[in-house]
Amino acid sequence: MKLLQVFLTDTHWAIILVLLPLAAAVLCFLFSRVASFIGVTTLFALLLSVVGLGWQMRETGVYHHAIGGWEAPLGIGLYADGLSLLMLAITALVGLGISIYATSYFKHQDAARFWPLWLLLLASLNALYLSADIFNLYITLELVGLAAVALASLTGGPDALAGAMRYLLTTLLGSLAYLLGVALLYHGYGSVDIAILATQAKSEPVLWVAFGLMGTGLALKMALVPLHFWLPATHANASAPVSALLSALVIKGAFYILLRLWLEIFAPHSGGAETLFGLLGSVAVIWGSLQALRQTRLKLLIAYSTVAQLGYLFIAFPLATIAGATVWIAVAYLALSHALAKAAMFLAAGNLIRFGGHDRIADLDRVVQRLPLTAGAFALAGVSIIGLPPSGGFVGKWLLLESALSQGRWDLVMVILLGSLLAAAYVFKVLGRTFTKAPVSHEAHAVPARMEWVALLLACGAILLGFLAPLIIPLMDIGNPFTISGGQP
Amino acid sequence: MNWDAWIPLLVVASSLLPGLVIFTLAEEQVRLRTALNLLGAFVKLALVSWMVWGVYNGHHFETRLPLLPNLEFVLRAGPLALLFVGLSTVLWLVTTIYAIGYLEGSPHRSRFFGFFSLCVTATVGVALSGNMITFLIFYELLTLATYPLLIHRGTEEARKAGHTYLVYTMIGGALLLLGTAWLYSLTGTLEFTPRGFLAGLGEEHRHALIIIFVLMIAGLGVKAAIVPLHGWLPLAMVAPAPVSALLHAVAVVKAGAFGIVRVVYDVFGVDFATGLGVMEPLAWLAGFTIIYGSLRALFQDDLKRRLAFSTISQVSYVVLGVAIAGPIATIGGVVHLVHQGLMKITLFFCAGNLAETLGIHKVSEMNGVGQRMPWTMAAFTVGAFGMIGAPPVAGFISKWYLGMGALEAGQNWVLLVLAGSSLLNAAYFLPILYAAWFKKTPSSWPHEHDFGRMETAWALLLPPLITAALALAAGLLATLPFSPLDWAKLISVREFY
Amino acid sequence: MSIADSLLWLAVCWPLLLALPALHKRLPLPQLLAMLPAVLLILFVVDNTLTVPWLLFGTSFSLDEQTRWLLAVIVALWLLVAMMLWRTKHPAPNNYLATLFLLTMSGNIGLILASDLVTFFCFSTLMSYGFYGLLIHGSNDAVRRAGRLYLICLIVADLALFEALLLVASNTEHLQFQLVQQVMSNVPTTDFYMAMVLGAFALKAGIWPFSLWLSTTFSATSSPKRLLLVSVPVAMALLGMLRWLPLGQYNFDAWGLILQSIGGVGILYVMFKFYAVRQIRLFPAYAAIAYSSLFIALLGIGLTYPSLWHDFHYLAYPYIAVLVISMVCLILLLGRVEHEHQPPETTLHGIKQLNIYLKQKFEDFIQWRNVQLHKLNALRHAAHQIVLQSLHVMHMQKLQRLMDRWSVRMMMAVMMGMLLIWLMI
Repeated sequence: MKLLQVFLTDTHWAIILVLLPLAAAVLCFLFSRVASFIGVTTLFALLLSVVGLGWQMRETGVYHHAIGGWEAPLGIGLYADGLSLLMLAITALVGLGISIYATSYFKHQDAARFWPLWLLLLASLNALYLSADIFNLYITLELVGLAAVALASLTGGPDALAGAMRYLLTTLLGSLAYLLGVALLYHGYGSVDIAILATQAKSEPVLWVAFGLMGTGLALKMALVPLHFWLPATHANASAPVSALLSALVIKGAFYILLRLWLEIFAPHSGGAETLFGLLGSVAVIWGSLQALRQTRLKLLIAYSTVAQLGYLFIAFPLATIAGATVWIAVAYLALSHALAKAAMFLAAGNLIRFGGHDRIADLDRVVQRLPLTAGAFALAGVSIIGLPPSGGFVGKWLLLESALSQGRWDLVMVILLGSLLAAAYVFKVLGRTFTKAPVSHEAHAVPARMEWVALLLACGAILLGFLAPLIIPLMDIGNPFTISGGQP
Repeated sequence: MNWDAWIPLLVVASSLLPGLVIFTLAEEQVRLRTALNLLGAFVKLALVSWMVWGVYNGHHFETRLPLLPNLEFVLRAGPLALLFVGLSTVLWLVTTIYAIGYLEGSPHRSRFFGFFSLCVTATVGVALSGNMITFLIFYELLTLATYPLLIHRGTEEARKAGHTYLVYTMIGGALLLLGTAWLYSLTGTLEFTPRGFLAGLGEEHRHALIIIFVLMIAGLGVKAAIVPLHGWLPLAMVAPAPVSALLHAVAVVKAGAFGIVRVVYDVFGVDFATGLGVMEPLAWLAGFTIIYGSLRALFQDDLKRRLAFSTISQVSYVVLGVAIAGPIATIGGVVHLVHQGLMKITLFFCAGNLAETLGIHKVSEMNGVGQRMPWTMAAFTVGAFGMIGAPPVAGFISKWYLGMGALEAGQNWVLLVLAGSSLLNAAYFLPILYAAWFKKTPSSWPHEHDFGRMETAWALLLPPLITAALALAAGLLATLPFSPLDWAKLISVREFY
Repeated sequence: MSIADSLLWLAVCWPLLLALPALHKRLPLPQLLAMLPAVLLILFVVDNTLTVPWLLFGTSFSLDEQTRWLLAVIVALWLLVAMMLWRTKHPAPNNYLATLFLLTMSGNIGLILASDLVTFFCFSTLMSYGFYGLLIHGSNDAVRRAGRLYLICLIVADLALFEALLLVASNTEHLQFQLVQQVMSNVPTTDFYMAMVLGAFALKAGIWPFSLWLSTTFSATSSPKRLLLVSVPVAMALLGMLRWLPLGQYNFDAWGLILQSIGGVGILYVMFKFYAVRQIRLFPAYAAIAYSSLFIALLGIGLTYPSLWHDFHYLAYPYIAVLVISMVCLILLLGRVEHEHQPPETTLHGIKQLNIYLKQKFEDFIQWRNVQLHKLNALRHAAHQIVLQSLHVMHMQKLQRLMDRWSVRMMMAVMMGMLLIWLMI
């Protein structure tokens, strides 16, 4: 017991989290026959590592490690607080689901290409969440983006390729803008370490410009309206597991960076940017939902839903200036539950496509009878997306709503509620169809039970989040990631 | 270990777990499914009986689990909660038996019974909720669990009805959520408290509180089918008969009415709400709904549709009783939760029997049906007289207390509403009875099934007879301890005044 | 529970129980069997009260000297009707005649025995709706149309009674008749209460101006049911007035006046109808209306003079009993007329026929007796025959003339006398 405790507390889980998937990616590349096995095993190991990291942090607080012993200004630092921990956890969890799904989804050749890329993506994402300086963040962001583009082009169809190309351009553009921002900051303050920047940042043009560049770059990557043009095509045309990981995980990476930078560096010097974020977020919620409602294809609908749901994350910015931590907790919660729910939705959509050969919503008749688990997965994920209780989405929206109300921000209240109603409209637009009796029978392709169960379990996870708030919120608070630090405003 | 703290949770779980297991069962495992259903129902009945006895003797049953920062998931078995839980539990048992008979041989039964159990779980949860957030959770769960039941038949008509239902309930849910969150931002608590928890709020919040009240009542009124929020209910009769029965008697409609009782008494507090000046408009609205529903029911030829409009009218009795804001009227309103449930479920069972046995869906096809199905129509007669408010059926007791309460509160117009409603109820129920008993039996029925010596399958016949007997007993034995009336008095003393 | 209590209990519940088709189909003569407890009750029990606190709001039945006689008359009536109904009809297997009959009867007995308002109301409902069913059971369209009118009156009356009940209940917790009469004589809502009670029972009794249903229904229905029609609802409604109104407590001038005038107008109305209407078959219906109008007028006097009421109130129950008895006699008699003759054209014609019929019958009777007497004593028989024959001829001729000429005038005289009394008062 004692030994186990020592083992848990002393192991450098964070390093494992980065290196393990990297190594696994190489192995998969070399031994493509057993790639699935390696991949799934790695994901299990990652999940265990996250648990280990969590244990460690619960015992000792914030994790901080300078690689090779070089401290902040020079070396590469790894840093993990509650926010990072949760992002790592959700990545591992959703990643595991997607991996298991992928074992059934991809045939030999695709699998051989998918696994190394996917593990590389995981490694970069983990590294992103553990980075303590903005330059490392850039590197990981770029890696994530490139891996994601490669994955998006995986299915090889013309639509997918076009989508991937568009994605490549935007992600490069976004990274470039971000890099410029990093350069400006480095020039201005002589450091890329977040903690150091936080203490030195002042309200001055160089900071503003840097923030503008970085913000725009990240917003582009997150497809914040009006920069969302690339997202639906890309997410809708990729293969199901890839859509799921793009929507659920990759976008969260960019958001994590934005949130980190905001909290640590920019918040005291924002100069009204939060109002803009709030405005754009509101537009995203309404516009994205309306677009989703208009779609006739399932995957496009889900993709637009992502645009809408990301809007919620931005609504938090204006609220947080007063309410602080509560709102950020709400946002983190929304991000977590969105990751689970959206992954479940895309995987469910993948099942439907596999089953019926198309994703036209109007022809989804009788799916409930044929694929009850998939329909259930979609419904449960939908519940969380709508924000109905009890679900993770509800917890997030409740906290958000509560802050908006106590600040008298009626505009945001209306947006939140309207967004929920519209979400209900598009979710049930799909579900209503699935119950009707079809006059024509589809040419049915069997869907492996594993694929159905994965989608369902992920969706259940999103629902369960609604009950786990008392466990998760204290974890989030490790290291007080949501208290705004930095210099004098 | 203190078991009392877990019994409310177990009551909720006793239908949730069988429901979840049933989802995974194959269509052919009829026996296992039936056994699970009945097991759950009986376990729940036992637990609820235990709680009723306990609460009567002053025990305290409460489950508390953390849910959100500063908010807990609370299940508490107070007298009011138990009234509704008791009703749901008994009627669930009866309806399950009915549904087993009704759906025999039809497809997708596992799905049906799964959602059916979920629906009851949500209802029981709504009843036991100890604070507004828990209430909200189960309230929305109820919306979701009912939807698949509504569109169970899978026809285009069912899909549209389900769509309308969702539009109404989702918007209602959003309004309720808004009201709740707003209230929370003002008070910092959502715990249901006897006589309300708002008394400490200052005068400056008066307008906000009025709006919150309106929001919450509007949100709950959608499910309680208060005019003009009633549009979904008549469409919802496309659902299979057991669903309609449960929907109208216990689950959805009642959850709305129950919520209004909760909001008025345990959130605002009746005196505080009266002080806000919101009770009188609510009473007028309820009165209008009562008359309007009855008027619309007059002109429906479809039996279930007529019953649906009757529900709209009858459920507002509950709201009216609450809104008159006097102790006696409240007893009438609260006891009508139970009485209306018993009577209306009887009527819907009977309508289902007619449809299932003879293919009769319309009032105009019911000529002489009393000769063919005397037991069913006898139960229907009891239910109908109860709705009219004729003694000694349960409806009489409710009307009695409502009328007395109105006199006590000096709101004499309510008597007119009650009289008008009774008149209209008579006008749309008595012709049915007349046609069924005294008109000539036609030579053939629209779609007749043969059940041998019995007039219909025993699983279809027994439930309406049981509920009709209960409705009669609730009226005749109203003064006995543990009768609904007696319990409503207990509620009034312990929780309201 | 003593035997008397059980009898009270059984008198009401036993017919109710037998109303179940499953039961009464397995028993011989269920209609008569159902009356057994009531008959026993009448024979052996005097002055007993049974309180059942757990039923409804606390139910109580009581039997005293006056209700006993009323009950006896009513039970006899039901016995008669039962015999008539089951002599003429052979019920089909799925026939609810017996059920309806027993329900109505049980309601009627319970109504008489009830000693508080709610019990009275309950049994009144049971009786009324049961009676409606009985009325239209197996009948033609005319009866159904007429029955509908009756039903509407019934519903409205029950609503009014319910309101009255609420008024009482909001003033007192105890709903025993005596207590209610005391309490309701002097509360702010007394007038409303009186209006509701009077309106309700006037509807139920078919008192002018609510008499339409009675005559219409009467003209449409068949003989055994007519017996019930003019006696059961009418008599029970009059009983209801006695029970519910705060009589002999307080001086109600206005109400007394109103009642007297309604009664007066009612009688006038009957006279008018009596002339205008073309069917003698309706005669009993109008007689019943006249009877109850007179009752109302008397009640009016009672309301105006509580002391008078105190002295003469014991006459009210016999009055109702007599109403029942006389109606029964009248209808039976007319039934015979119809049975043996063509339906008469006008009332006067009818009355002539009635006279002729009476004469014939009387002759028959006399003949029969004479034959008997003849057997005994041929000698005395001859003498007797001569005397009697002459007497009888004289008498009948006189009566006939009287009826032809004087019936209207006599009525007028009675009316004028009443008006005069009323004005003098």
